Amino acid sequence: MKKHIMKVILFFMILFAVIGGSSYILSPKPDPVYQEKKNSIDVMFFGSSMCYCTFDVPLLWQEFGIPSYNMGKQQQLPSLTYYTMKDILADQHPKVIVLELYGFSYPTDNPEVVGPGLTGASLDIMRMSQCKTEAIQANVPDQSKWIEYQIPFIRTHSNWKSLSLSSFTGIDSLNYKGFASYFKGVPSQKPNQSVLNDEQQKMGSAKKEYLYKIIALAKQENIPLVFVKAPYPIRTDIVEMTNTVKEIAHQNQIPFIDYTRKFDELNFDFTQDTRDGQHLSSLGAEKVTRDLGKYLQTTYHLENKKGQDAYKTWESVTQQYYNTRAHDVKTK
Amino acid sequence: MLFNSIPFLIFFPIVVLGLFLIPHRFQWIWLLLSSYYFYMSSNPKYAILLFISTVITYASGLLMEYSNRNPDEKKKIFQKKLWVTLSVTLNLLILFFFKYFAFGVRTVNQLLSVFHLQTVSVGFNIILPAGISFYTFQALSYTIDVYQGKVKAQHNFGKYALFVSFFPNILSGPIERAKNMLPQLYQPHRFDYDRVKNGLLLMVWGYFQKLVIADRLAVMVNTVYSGYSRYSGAQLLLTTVFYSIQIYCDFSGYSDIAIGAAQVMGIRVMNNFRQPYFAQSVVDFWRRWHISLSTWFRDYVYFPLGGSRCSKIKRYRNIMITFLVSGLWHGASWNYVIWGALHGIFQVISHMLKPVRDKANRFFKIDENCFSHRLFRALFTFSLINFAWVFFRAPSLRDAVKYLSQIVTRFNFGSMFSPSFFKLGLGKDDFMLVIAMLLVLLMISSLRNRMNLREAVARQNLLFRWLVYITAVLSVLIFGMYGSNYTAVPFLYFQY
Repeated sequence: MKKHIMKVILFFMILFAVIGGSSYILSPKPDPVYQEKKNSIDVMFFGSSMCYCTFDVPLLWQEFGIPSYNMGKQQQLPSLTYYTMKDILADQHPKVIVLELYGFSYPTDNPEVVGPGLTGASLDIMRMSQCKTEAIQANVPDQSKWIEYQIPFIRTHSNWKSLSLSSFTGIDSLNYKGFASYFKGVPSQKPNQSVLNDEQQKMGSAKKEYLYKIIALAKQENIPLVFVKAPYPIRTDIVEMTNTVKEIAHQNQIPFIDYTRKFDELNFDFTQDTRDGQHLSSLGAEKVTRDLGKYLQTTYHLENKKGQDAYKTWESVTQQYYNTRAHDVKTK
Repeated sequence: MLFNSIPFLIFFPIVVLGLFLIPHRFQWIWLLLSSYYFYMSSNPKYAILLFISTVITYASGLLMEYSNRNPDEKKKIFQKKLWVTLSVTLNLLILFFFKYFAFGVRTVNQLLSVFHLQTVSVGFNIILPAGISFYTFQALSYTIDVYQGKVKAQHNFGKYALFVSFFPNILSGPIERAKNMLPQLYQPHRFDYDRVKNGLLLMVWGYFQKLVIADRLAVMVNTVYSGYSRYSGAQLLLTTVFYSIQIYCDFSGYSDIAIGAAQVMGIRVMNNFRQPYFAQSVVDFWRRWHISLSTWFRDYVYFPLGGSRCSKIKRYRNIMITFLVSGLWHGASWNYVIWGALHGIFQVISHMLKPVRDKANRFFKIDENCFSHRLFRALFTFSLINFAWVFFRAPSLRDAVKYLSQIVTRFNFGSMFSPSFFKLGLGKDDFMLVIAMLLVLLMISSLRNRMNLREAVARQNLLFRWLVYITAVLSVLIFGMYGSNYTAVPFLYFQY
């Protein structure tokens, strides 16, 4: 009997190890931000895809020596941004948090409309924690699906069809501490400035709730917030929603930078500074980040940390980024 | 609660662990409570019908036993007949009401509309309670077996209620017999390493059939059947073959999970499938397909009608009645009746042609046991069964006929190689995977036809055994169609 028990235990240990390995390969990996040294990041960016295409982490390091991390996730609703921020602030205490505002202009408050895949793209990269449980409960309306987000393998086992090298290594070669670079710009139309008005739009109750939660969280952690609207997209409804957030920012003494109104100042090149007419190309991101970097460094007195041993990974990622970029420009 | 759901994966280990930990005298109570919990977790109201059916058949058993003590033989027979008739009638009335009432009303209305008469409206919806066809037949088998003296009446109501509601069987069988099942339920259930291991392996095999093969094929079958007019005859033919495999893997998978689950707990449940598509004739097919139901019809319909110990005409009549009833049991629709009728007709023709066939075999000196002959017969039988499945699967009789005619009139073999082939619901990856898995199924079915595969694996060395077990579990977990990235397909036989 004892022999059987030992055998069964050993068998199930091996079985669970194999299942765990398969789950690791087939599921999205926890965001690499969790591997950063505690309190090593000075600037953190949060928001949607506009965030990860706009704020250029290698440039901030290269030109300002600011160690930053971009936590933008595709179509991330503010409710998910809040929990992502809350979870990361358990490890990091940045000197400033930059929030990109496009997520407040989504036509829906309902994560189901955004799509379970995208909700998963935000939830699956969170580590197992109480915060993740809260994020799931707040963002997945169907309770029976909660377990699929706690154990993503239940959903992601179908990824056997799209296995790649990064499935095994967890390294995404196009991702530079959250900044998703895209070197090839496409011509875009200069936005119609007439849509830039000062009207405001009513914000959905969930978005409003989480905007105030984000503000309260930053206050509680004693971290200054900066609200930034990326240059794109520009539509009347988005401009009006941005104005609503601007009002709230002023009420709470939060700096507000609206790049939809700074194309000339940025010397924006509409032939190559966006990748698709909406998201910025690396060249567009560079212009916005350089401008923002100056503001952040002077306003928050951010130390230039270049040359410090603790920040070697920023140096190597930046080198890798510029090498890839140089190669890409050459082969174009 | 479905076998392919997360709640069941939590429920089952708890039940098994509890069963092995509690003293013997409480084990049947634990199983009874677990079974009712399992049944009521989908819709608690249905348990009322289950309870009524249990009470009726239990009472009829006791009453028949009481009648047995009557010294007057005539009265005794009369009373026993009365109780069994009452029990069967009441149970069938419940079944008919829930399963066939709407069908009856629909048929009457169709007839009325032919004569331009006002149709009937019942004003309420009837939902088919889960597993009603299965547990009703299981309960009826007890009543009839007590009547025929094959089993003694069970005095303990709770113990009898467990026989009717035993959770592995209740939703889709196998439809067990009291003689086999009743005594086992109350025996001590102790942990036995090999038995538990074998039971779990059978469950994994069941999940493989259901989640990896059946549900994957279901995607293509559902796509094609929902718009068959858009597809070529060759594609429809392939889909027909895929449906045959889907329904087999779906139901055989369910049965294996049920049998395996019971085996883990120390209860032997009868086998329900025995490689049915290797059958040499339609008669042989019914010895291998849904065995618990086909033997039920054999014992309680075909034999009482006279079986085959009567004139040829009566025998053919008995076959036709049995299969028409069997068709109707599967569902309240003319499709099922025609499907049953086809199986009856195939068998009648087969019996009629037997002398001619035997003569031809002798004349051409055909060795009936040679591989080529057996292969030809198996393929021919499979074709007949495929043909009948179209009536079973198509949304209506008209659709079935159109579907079949389109196979002939628009057969375009080239369409199998066009890029649009992968727009039939299954992408290239899934299609290639399912073909590979069908080869695994064929290989395992062939081996199971010749040997006890689980015992054969158990004789191998530890490394090989564990490799097989881990690969099996991993295949289900990775290639199984579950989770919200796939659309869950309920077990097909739940609707019958």
